[in-house]
Amino acid sequence: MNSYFIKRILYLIPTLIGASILIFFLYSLIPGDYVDTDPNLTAERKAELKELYGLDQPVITRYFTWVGNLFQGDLGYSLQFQRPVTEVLGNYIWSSFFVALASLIITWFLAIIIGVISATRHYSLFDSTVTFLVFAAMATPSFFLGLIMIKFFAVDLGWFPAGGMITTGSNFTGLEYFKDLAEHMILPVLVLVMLSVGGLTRYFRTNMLEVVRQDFVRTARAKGLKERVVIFKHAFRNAMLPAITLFAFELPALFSGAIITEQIFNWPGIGAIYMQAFTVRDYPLLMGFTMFIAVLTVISNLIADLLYGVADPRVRLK
Amino acid sequence: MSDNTILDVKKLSTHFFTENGVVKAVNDVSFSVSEGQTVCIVGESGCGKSVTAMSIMRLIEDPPGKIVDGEILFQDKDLIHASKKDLRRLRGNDISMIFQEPMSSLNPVLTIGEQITEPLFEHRLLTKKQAKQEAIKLIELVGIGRSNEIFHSYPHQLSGGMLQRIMIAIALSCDPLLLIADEPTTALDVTIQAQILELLKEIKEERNMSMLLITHDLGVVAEVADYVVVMYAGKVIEQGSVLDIFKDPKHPYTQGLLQSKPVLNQRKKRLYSIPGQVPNLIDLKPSCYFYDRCEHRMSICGGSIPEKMEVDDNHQVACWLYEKEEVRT
Ligand SMILES: Nc1ncnc2c1ncn2[C@@H]1O[C@H](COP(=O)(O)OP(=O)(O)OP(=O)(O)O)[C@@H](O)[C@H]1O
Ligand code: SF4
Ligand SMILES: [Mg+2]
Repeated sequence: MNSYFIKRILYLIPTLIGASILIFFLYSLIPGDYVDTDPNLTAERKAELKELYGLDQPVITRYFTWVGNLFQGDLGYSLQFQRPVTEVLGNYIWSSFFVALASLIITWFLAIIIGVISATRHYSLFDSTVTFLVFAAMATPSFFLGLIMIKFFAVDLGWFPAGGMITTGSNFTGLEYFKDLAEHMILPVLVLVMLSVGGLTRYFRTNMLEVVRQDFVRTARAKGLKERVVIFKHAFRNAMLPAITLFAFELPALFSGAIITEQIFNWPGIGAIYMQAFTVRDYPLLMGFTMFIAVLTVISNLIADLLYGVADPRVRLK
Repeated sequence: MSDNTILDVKKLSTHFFTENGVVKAVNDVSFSVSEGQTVCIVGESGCGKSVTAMSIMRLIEDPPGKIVDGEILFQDKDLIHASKKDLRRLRGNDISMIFQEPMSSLNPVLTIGEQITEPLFEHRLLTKKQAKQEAIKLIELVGIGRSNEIFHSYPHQLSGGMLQRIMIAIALSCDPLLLIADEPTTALDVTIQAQILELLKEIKEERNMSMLLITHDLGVVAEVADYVVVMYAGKVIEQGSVLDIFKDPKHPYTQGLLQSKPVLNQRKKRLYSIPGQVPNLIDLKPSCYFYDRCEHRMSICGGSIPEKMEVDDNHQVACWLYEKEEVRT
């Protein structure tokens, strides 16, 4: 187990080197940079700025400088914000994170419950209704859903604010601040949940249906166990196994922001920043952020493997 | 039937309602099992043996399956109309079942111990400590050493033969009156097959348990059966004591099976060499279902279904050959 773990960690090194090469060279292959985007600059000033940002150096040198900085926890320097990338990320990532976390928890909770009930009442009215709603939700584009929600809940009913993270001009502290934040979060979270709960429900329903058909579930019934025990003790645990991997894969998504939803709700998250950085070619920010997500993905992979090992005895003992 | 009958299946019909039509998997099947008796159901793959067993356990998945007709009496209790709760009390307690695939019949994420003790908690209401002791005893009973170690291991750590022994241990845990074994040795190596069969025989005799054994292996039948039910395309075409069936088979299908049977006491997986195929169970015509493959077929065979009739004491056959002349014509 321990040597396996060490081996897995060692495998991360080439993966991350590969990722860094890919990320760096893809961005440096794109013609033009931040300085080129500004048409008001004189050629002299441009050359000066390029020298300042190190853009005049050969690509290889720039790569090693970049990687060297990464090792010191320095993701680069955002040209647009004129601040270190880590600081920019630190400022925006948490607002994205809380929305993503809330919607992840709610989505999984709902999907597991609905999926399992739907599978155990296969062919029932509940099951057909769920299947219909799932497809409806999956077929609706996020911008459309977002706008409908704003129109209905924010404009018509006036229950929740239409956008932003806190009421503008307000100066809440403590509990008041938290309440204000929560009110602003409800609609974006709702939209994200509605968008993803369908697919995940289907996933659990399918998993469950597959497991329920297995021989060992029949054995459990043949033992005279209560249906509740058959479903939750015998079937459910097995149906959840593949979901562990899926769950770990969702972890990087917690930090990567929801581009469209954040835009619609004017949410100051990382998704919006990401889009902005593209338009002004703030490559250091983009590269730093992408590398950060790459590291998270690799770590999540590792977590998935470890969790799987804990949950599935067939893997555990190898 | 005799007084000590414990299972009485009468005119059982189980159908599956599928998109392609109604599959008449079990069609008017009757037989009974008495105390301490071993009844074997034999027949080719797909003839409805498992569905018969699952119907008795009331484990047919509905939909698509449904018991459409007949009676199943277990100690005079009507299983078809029994409540879910009553059925649960019977399953794993008075009637147990073991299956063809030991590898997939145990839950991969639970230890052997957890799986053996489950029925002990459920039906015998033992405490944790008692259940563990009992489980260890059961593991030893089915001939596995290192019982304590086995108790804590997971199914993937054991071989197929050992898993089938564990399945037997689970089935025996609450002293069942009837053990249904659905091809318990088919998935195993030949040597292991013999061991498992021997184990079942021993335990059965020791406990005076009744057994309903499903197989398509006539070697197995010859070794363990008291009474034999031969099925074909969802119907019983012949049934009788093991002696009657082996010495004096009446139905052309049974005769064919026995002809293709190799030397006595030598088992083989596939012994059927009767030419032709089993008819599709969806569109069965009102004829003898064996018609296409039968050497003795007559005109009447293609037009109406032969009824089961007594040819000897407790020996019945469904074939027009044995009907009196005047009925045939
Ligand atoms: N869930 C189901 N849906 C539709 N048809 C089914 C279902 N289960 C069984 N059948 C059909 O019922 C018939 C009898 O199946 P059964 O499993 O009883 O055969 P068997 O005699 O046990 O064969 P084998 O020796 O292969 O185990 C088959 O034709 C099968 O296709
Ligand atoms: S009824 Fe006719 S076709 Fe069927 S087995 Fe008997 S002789 Fe053959
Ligand atoms: Mg079968």
